[in-house]
Amino acid sequence: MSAVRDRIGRSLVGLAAVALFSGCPRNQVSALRATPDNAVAIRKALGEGKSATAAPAEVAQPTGWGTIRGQFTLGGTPPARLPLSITKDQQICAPGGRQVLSEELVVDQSGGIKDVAIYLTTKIPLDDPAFIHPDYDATKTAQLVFDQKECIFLTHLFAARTTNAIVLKNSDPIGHNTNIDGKGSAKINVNMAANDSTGYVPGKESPEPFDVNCSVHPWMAAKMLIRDTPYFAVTQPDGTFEIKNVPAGIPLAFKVWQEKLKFITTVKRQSGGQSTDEKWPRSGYKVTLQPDEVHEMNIVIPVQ
Amino acid sequence: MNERWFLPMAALLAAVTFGGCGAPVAEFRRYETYARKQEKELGVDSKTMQPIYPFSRQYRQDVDDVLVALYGTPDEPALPQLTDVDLSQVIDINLLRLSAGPVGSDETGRPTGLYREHCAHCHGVTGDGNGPTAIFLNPYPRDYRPGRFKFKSTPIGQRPTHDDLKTILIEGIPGTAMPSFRLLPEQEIESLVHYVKYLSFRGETEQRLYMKLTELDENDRLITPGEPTPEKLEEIRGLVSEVASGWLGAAETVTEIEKRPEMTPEQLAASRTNGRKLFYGAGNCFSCHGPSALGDGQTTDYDEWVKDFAGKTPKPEDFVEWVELGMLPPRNIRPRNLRQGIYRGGMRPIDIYWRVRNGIEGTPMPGNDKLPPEQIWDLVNYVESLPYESISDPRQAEPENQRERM
Repeated sequence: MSAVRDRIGRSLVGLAAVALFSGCPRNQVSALRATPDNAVAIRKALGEGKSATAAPAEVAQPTGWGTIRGQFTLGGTPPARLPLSITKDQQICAPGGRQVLSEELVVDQSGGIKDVAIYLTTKIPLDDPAFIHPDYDATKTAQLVFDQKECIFLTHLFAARTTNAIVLKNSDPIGHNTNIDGKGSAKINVNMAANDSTGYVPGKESPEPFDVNCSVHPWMAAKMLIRDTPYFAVTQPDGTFEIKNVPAGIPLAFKVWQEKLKFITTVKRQSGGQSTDEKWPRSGYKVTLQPDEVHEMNIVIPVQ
Repeated sequence: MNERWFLPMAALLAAVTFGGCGAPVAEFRRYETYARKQEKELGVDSKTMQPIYPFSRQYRQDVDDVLVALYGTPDEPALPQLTDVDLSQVIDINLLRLSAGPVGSDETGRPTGLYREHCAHCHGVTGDGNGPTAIFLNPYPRDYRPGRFKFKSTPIGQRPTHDDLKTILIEGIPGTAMPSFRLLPEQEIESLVHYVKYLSFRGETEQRLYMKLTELDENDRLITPGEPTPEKLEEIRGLVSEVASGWLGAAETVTEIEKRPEMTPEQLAASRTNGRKLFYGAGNCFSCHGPSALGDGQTTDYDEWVKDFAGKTPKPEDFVEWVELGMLPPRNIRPRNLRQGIYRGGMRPIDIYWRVRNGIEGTPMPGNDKLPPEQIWDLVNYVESLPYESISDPRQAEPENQRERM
């Protein structure tokens, strides 16, 4: 009799243990954790509409023009450029079995970094000749060609103004498609027949460079940056750049970006044989130029 | 077994059994993958590949607070109040309320909580395509949060129109788990469309808030809830307006289509022949849909929902991270097998025209804006004929009809 009871008892203990330890599902780990009071306060403030104090502040007028120039170099050993796997159309994309290397981070012998973007993020009036130097009128609506040959986008980081006429070109005897994943700017994904071309109207500027790919040849990759102002540059293969006729006398912020290194904030500045550590704010490198100043930026980016 | 233990143990078991777990609270999930992606924009450790400057708890909290301020909760949805944009043109708050909240009905017997009744089990309460049943489905349910939809009348980069979304609800998506909701009353379908737009709006806003975090300087905040500054409020209004403008302008971007040319059987045959030439020529269709149009030309790619996070050439570790952040294991995106006669975006000629002309957003399928309309109709005619070709006949694939392989 007691044996039966014992068995029932033991299974009861077992059941209770299972029930207790299996437990109930926890609420989602990633659930929103808002503070109701804060949310109510923000909603109230947002609902109050544009407040009087939000009237445009007096904009400082530029006092002249300056130049920003310099060089970006990598501090430390650059990571090896990985070969891309050419899985299609080898006779055109990799003639003679040529190896095609990734262009994520291209560093020359002296450490100069290719394709670093430096661009103005400060909002300035776009039709005021005091802010946009008249020299830029000539290139304002210029036609720029974004070409691809042997399954490589010939400009790996393509920067243009919103006003430029952009021609997408296919110089290959095979079909491609150009998939532009515009962030802020227009997105398109167009089929490009052999040796054909088409247009791209970005419409709006992009806060950061965005991807351009070819779905037919998935290893093909480039970046595009579209800006309203002409104040941007992409570094040459030796890491040098120059932005001319930048408005002086007003505070400016520039973002510095590289495909692999992303937004650059921790750097060493080289100046007169000296090297000083600098930490730029996330909103960008801040500078106010003097008229006719040539602002040197010789920057070493340490490998993280 | 000691008698002293017997009773308490039985009581405990009874308590646990009958007490139960209670229903989980319906909450919006954070957009973890997008937050991580933005953190990585600030810099990545080259060894661990993790962000060097992860967002602080305060940063994340601020985004949550702003989202609730703008959009409320799953039970009590709200719409942002904007002065420059009239959101009521896109989302009707009264229709929205019909779909929100728990499943039930009001005093008049009108059902409420339609979204949770019909949609949430697959698309998730947040609309992230990650409901409890999502893992069992192929393809996975749509994640509405990036505001990106495949089957629509507008070009890539534009939002779908209200009618585009409604068509999908009414027709369902053939070849997927998405059923037709044709049997629901008109008003309930309308309400669900508004709710889908609401979730999409909310998700896009969340993206932009996280993007905003990457621009904040070290001691700055997205907003200080106690006394928000006019500049910060204006920034938030601005980014919501941007999201809204995409939806407000959608109807104007619809790709107009010239009527399909009337054709004699001979003309139709000629049109198909032209379409075939384009399929293997200027249209370059074969390179993904395969030389036999079986959808086997390019089978290793992924869709943009995954690639937004994992990059355009994803690596296995990116997928591991994606899954760790609560998303479903990515699957390859497959070009459609055009010999089956199953068209996800609809089988009307106009639907196929839109797919060929505009491409399919979020997928590798490009548009063909350079082809003149008659050539696109040629392609449509050819594609529509493919399921009727003899090699499309599934009987040919049956074992007894196959030649023995050596």
